[in-house]
Amino acid sequence: MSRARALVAALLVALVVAPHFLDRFWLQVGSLTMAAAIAAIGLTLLVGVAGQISLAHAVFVGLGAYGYIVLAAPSDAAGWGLGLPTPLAAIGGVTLAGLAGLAISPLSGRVSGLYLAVVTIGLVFIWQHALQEVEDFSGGYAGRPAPELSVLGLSLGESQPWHIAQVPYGGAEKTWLLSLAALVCAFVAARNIARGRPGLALAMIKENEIGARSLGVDVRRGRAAVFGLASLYAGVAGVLMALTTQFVTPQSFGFQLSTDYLVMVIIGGVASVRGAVAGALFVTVLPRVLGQYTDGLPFLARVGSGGIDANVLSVFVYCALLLVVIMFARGGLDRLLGLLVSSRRASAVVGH
Amino acid sequence: MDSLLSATANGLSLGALYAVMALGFVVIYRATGVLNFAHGAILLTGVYIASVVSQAHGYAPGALAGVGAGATVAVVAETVFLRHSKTRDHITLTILTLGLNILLVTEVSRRIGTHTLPLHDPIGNALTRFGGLTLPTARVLALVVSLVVITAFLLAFRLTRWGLAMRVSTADAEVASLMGVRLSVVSWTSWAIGGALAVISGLFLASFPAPGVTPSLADTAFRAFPAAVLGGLGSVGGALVGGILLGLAEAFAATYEGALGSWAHNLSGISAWLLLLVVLLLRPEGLFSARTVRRV
Repeated sequence: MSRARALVAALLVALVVAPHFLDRFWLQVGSLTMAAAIAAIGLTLLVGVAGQISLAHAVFVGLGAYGYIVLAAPSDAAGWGLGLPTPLAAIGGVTLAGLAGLAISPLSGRVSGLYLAVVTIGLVFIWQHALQEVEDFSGGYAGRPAPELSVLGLSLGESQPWHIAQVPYGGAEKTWLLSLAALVCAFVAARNIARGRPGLALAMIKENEIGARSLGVDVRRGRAAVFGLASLYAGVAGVLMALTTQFVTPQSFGFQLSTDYLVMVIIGGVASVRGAVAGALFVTVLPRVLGQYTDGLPFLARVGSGGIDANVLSVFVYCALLLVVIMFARGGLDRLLGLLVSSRRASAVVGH
Repeated sequence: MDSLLSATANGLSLGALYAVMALGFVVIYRATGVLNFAHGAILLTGVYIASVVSQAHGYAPGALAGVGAGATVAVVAETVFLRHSKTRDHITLTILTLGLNILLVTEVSRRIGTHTLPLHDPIGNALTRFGGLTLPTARVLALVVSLVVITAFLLAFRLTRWGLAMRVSTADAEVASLMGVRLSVVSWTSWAIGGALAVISGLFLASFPAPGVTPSLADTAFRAFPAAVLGGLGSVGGALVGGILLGLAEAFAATYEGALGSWAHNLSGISAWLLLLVVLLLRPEGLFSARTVRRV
């Protein structure tokens, strides 16, 4: 275990100093990955721990992102806005996503399994419809810019760069650090929930509903609560996404994003918080890096030429990985991490 | 009055197509307990092959090849991927079909590109008149073919040994296999039928008044999900009623959304989902599912 702790500490230090050395592209990919990891952690609590499949995760991520923008931006030509202080707006965006998750508790509490999967697909389509119709809210196809965050006069955006050891820290660097802080909190909280009493109750609901009920677990409330919690995580991810990309469009919060999150959770390994992070890293980084280096990779065609381009190839790779994980290796990336982190003796004892 | 009549006729025809597709979901669900998210991909692949083959050899061989391809893809999905999975958990297997769906749709969309492939069907954009009612001939034909397919399916389900095996294995798989039912055969024939049904409805959904074969056809399969779920996933009758109901709801929404004011703009696109939400709020396991009694 001590080796694992040392590795985690080294990784954390590396992530904290990373903005000092990375360029803008990598910083943005990193922040997006951390946002995706937070969303995936939320979904893994819902799908992995509680056994409830949801394809509506993108809706709550989108609510977080748009919630932040609408609360923070002043009303102008781009759409409605309340012009609140940005930290309040960020909290508001997260709360909005969480409340929306709780608001559908009559459904998420009662409907289960595959029925819930189909209902949540419906939520995605209804949400997309609403975004397209209410252009004052979403900015229509053109999308809306996200105001930069500033906490108590301290700007976390591009406008006032910090200078740390002669390196200017602009928006990308600051967002990286903010995302990292959020990810660490989200990770620790999720681990404690999954390992503590609530996690036990949820796992019980997943394995045996009647058994859970007879042991005094309120099944309906448990299901609704974990759905709300997952939405809260999604909301945090949405705010961070808006801050990273500084611009959001309705199309980015559709069905595909939902399936991406589900893929992250599954290839990460069932019910594993650190696996979800690994899955998010894989699914987020792969297409962007392949896209960035298309010119140097002879087997890749340009996007739109009809050949196998970066996006198509990364879809092939991550779907193949999904199939392999489901068919042969249920542990997924989590198991792989476990082999890396733990010493041989420990894995020989635990791993059979 | 005319618009009411034509909305009803259009809704019935569309609903029959949804019912055929939903029947495919139900057959597969009953046989394997999996909700086939790859339905859209199977539909798209079949219709794409139909379009390519009909280019060279005419419509009838094309349509046959398409339906055959749909059945083949479904059987391959079942025998190669689902049967060899370590897990038997239905939700995980359902996610597997979702992965297959993304994979296939990405590949076929890449091949189609931004084009709209024609189906070369002999009917084209002909219209049929009944009294004061004018309908695309393709839609009338869709209704007729759907009714024939549904009737044939119901007869096979009730009267043949396959239908018996299917019903028995849903009721109790263990006893069924003890009585000599080969569950693997039941399972792959069900997938083949499901795949073929998807392509049959797809062929009509791609013909007039739709422009032709585009990648977005895969999304129409999503519209049949609520039809299958509305009635209760394992229920054949439920799929039929659900399909017709949703077809009617969509057609009425499309006809009257203009009169309802600006909030209802494009309402027909989500009417099926709204209806599903309401139904599941009232009956969480669908309209026709047997109410399971559980004691604690």
